[in-house]
Amino acid sequence: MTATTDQMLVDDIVQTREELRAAARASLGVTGDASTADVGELRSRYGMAFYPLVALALLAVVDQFQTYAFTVLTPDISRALGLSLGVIAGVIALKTLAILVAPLPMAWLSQARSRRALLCVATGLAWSVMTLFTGFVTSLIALIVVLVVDGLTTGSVVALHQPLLMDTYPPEARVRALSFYRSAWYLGNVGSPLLVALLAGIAGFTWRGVFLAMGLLSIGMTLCCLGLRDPGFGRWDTDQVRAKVHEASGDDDATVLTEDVELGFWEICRRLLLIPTWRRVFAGYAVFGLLTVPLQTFLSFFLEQRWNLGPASRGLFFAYISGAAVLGLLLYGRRGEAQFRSSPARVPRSVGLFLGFGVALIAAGGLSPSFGLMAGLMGLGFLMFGPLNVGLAISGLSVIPSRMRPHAEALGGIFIAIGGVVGALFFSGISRRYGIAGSMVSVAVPGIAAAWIIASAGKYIGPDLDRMIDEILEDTEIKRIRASGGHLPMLACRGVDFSYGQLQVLFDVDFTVDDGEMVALLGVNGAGKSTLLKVISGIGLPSAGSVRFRGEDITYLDAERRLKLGITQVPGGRAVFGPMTVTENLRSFGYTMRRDRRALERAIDHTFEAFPRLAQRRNSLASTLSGGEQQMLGLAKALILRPRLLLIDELSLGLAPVIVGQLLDMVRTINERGTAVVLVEQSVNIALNLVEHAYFMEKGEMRFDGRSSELLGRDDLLRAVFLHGSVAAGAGVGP
Amino acid sequence: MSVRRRRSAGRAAATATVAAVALAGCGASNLAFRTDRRVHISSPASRALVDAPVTLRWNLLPRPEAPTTFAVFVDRAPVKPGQTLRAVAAGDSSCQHAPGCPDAQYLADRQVYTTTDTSLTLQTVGSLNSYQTTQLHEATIVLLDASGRRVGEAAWYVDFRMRHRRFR
Repeated sequence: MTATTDQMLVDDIVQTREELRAAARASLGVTGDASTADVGELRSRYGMAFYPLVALALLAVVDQFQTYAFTVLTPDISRALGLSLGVIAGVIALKTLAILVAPLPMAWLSQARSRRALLCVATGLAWSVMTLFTGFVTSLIALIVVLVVDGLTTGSVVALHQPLLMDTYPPEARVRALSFYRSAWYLGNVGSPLLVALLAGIAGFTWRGVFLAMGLLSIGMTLCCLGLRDPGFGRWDTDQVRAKVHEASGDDDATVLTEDVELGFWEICRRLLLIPTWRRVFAGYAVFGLLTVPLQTFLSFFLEQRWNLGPASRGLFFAYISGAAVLGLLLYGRRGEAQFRSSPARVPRSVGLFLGFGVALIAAGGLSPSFGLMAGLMGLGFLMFGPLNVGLAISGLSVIPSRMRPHAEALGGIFIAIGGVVGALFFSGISRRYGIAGSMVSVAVPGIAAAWIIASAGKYIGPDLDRMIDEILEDTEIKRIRASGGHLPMLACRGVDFSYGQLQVLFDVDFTVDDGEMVALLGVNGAGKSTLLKVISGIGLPSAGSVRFRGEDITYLDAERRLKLGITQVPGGRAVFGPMTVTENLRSFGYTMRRDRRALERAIDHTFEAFPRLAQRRNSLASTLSGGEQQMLGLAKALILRPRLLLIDELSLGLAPVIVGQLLDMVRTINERGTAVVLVEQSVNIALNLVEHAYFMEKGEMRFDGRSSELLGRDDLLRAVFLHGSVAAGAGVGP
Repeated sequence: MSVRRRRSAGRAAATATVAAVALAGCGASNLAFRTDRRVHISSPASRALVDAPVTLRWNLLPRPEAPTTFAVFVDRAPVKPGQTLRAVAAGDSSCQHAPGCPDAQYLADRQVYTTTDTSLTLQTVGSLNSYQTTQLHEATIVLLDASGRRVGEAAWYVDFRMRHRRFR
C-alpha cells in the first residue's frame, strides 16, 4: 500500500469521525443555530407528555412542606414541647446533615438500574408520612427521627429530579422543562409558608394541625405522581449518538452487545472530578455556597432590624423575591434553549453574568435608604439569580453520560453545602464587626467570584461535549466490531493525557498490546513510561483519552478491579513489603484469591519451585533479601495471580547481569504460558533482545511503535539511551 | 443464611427500630390540633418598643370559677407539659438538694414568674447575648394546675422590643 493510499484512508477515517461527531452534537441539541421550536410542535414531534414534568414539579413543591412548616412553626413547637431553641437548632443541624449526605445514597441506588422514578415517588411518600408524623411528635427523640428521616428522603430531589427530566425530554425542550421545574420549586418556596400561614392563622390549627394537614396534602399530591416512569438512561443522549453510528455503518442496532465494565459509585465521583467543566462548576458551587446560607439568614435579620418587619411581613418579602426568581426563569427558558443550541459555552457565561449582576444589585439593596428602592433592587437581583441552577444543569449535565448525572447533582449539592457552612462562619464575623447591612454588602464578594468561576466553565463545555461524544462513538464502534467477530487488541490506550497536578507528563499517547504478546516500552528516564503503566494499572487516572482492556473501557476503573480483570503490575524498585516474610508477601499478592486458599497455597508452592532461592528464604523478612531476590519476589506476583497482562517496570535496574538473565528467563516463561507482558526498560539491548514489538517514548509522547529490529535502526531515538543500554548489554541476554 | 438475606434482615431490623423509636415518641391522645384562644395578651402590643419596667396584661376567657395560676417565661422555653417548675432547676444539683428550691427568687433570677393575676410587671429583663441596639424579647404564658403542673401544650406569647442596656 502506498503512502498516498494510507493518507487517503486516514483522511477518510478523520472525515467520517468528524461527520459522526457533528451528527452526534446535533442529536444532543447543539445545532449551531439559535432556532427553537414551540412546545406544541415539540410535543407532536417527539410525543412529549407533560405528566412527568408536572409530577416532578409536584414532588419538588411538597418536598418543601415539612421544612417550611418546621421553620415557621419552630417557636410554637418549642413552647408546646418545652424544648429550648438551642435543642431545636441542634435537631435542625442533624436534619441539615441528613439533607447534605442524602443525595449520595440516592445516586448510588439509581446507578445500577434506571429506577429513579420509583425512588422519587417512594421517597416522596416517605417524607409525606414524616410530615404527617411530625404532628404527633411528643418527645425530642421522635422529633429527631422524624426530621432526620425526612432529610434523608429529600435527597432524591437533589440527585434524581433534574437527571430524570434530562432523560425524559429531548434536548430541544430541556431548558424549558428545567425552567418550569425550577419555577415550581420556587413556587413551593412561596406557597409553603403561605400555606402554613393559612392553616395556622385563618384555619386556626396549632402546629400539630398544620403538620397533619400538610402531611395529608403531601400524601395526596405524591399519590398523583404514581404514574411517573423512568425512561431509562440516555434515551436522548447515548442512545441517539449510538443510533447515529449504526446509521453511518448500516448495522442493525440489535447486534450490539450491551455488557460493560460499569463504574462503581466512587469511581463515578472520581471520574466527575476529572472533567474540567464539572471541576469549574463544583468550584463555582462551593464559592456560591459561601453566600447562600448567609444571604438567607442575614436577609431575614436585615429585614427585621433595618426595616422592622415582623414574621408575616418577612414571609411576604421572601415570597416576593421567590416570585421574582420565577419571573427570571420564565424569561430565561426559551432564550436559554436558543443559547444552548447555538453554543453551549454561552450558557454558563450568561448565567455567570446574571449572578454577578444579581449579587451587585442585592448588595446595593443592602445600602438602600428607602424600602421601595431596596425591595426593587432585591427583586431584580433575585430575578437574575433565577436561571442559575437551570443554566448550570443544562450545561453540566449535557457533557456527562446519563448514569453519572445523579452523582454530579449530589456532589454539586455537597459543594454548595460546604461553601454554606464556611460562609456562615465567615460572615457571622463580618456581621459582628460591620452589622447586618455590612454582611449583606459583603456577600457580593463571593458572589462575583462564583460568577467568574461559573462563567469560565464555558470554555470547557465544547471539548467536554466532544469527549463524551467520542467516548460513546468509540464504545459503540468497539461493541460493533466485537459483535461482528472482528479482532480487538487485549489492551488499547488511545489519546492518553496525564498530569501530576498542573504538570502534564503524557501527551496523546496511543499504546496497544495483543493477546499473548510481549512488548517493550522504552525511553529515557522521565519519558513517561512508568506513568503510562500507572494509567494502565489504574494507579493513575488520565485527564483525557481511554484505556480499553479486551474491548471494555477501564479508563476510570479502580486498580483493584483491574487486578481482578487480569492486569497486574510489578512496580519498579523494591516491589515488596519489607517488614513481611517472603511467604507473607506471596500471600498478600494473592489476596484477591482469598476465597480459594488451596489454590493460593498451590500457587505459592509453584512459585517456590520456580524460584528455589525464594524457597530457601521463605521465612526471611523481605527487607533482608538482596535486590535480585526482591525483584524475584516482586515477579512472583505474576506466578500467583496468573494475569492476562503483566506490566513490569524496570526489572533490570541496579541488578547484576546474571540475575537479570535469570529474571528475564522467568519473564519469557510467563509469556510463553499466555500472559501478555509489557516490559518497561531503559536498557535498550535487554528489551530488544527479548521482544518483537517495541514502543519508544520521549518527553511524554509516543515516538515509535513497530518492530524492535526497526527501532534498532533509529539512531535519532536511541542515541539518548544507547549509552545506558550498552552498560547493561554486558548481560549477554539472548532471545 | 446468605449475605443477601442477612442484609435484608439487617435493613428490616434497622427500619423497624427507627419506626419503633419514632412511634414511641409519638402520641395520639391529649394532642391539640386547633389553636387554644383562651388567653389573649393585651399588653404590650406585638413588637412594641418598651422600657423597663414592662407590664404584661392578658385576659382569660371564659373566666374560671377557681383562681388559675399562670407561669410566665421570659426569653426561655416553658417547661414541658405535665412538668412542674422544678424542671427549671433540672441539672442544678445545688438547688435540687436544697429544701424549698426552686423558690420564687430562684425562678425570677431565671426569668420565670408565677402569678394568679392577669398581669405581671417585669422590673428588669435580661439582655440577650447580642450586639444589636434593639433587642427582641419574648414572654410565654402557660397554665398551671393546682399541683403546679403545666396544663396541656397550649402556650401564649408576645414579642416586645427593648433597647440594649449599652444604648439606653
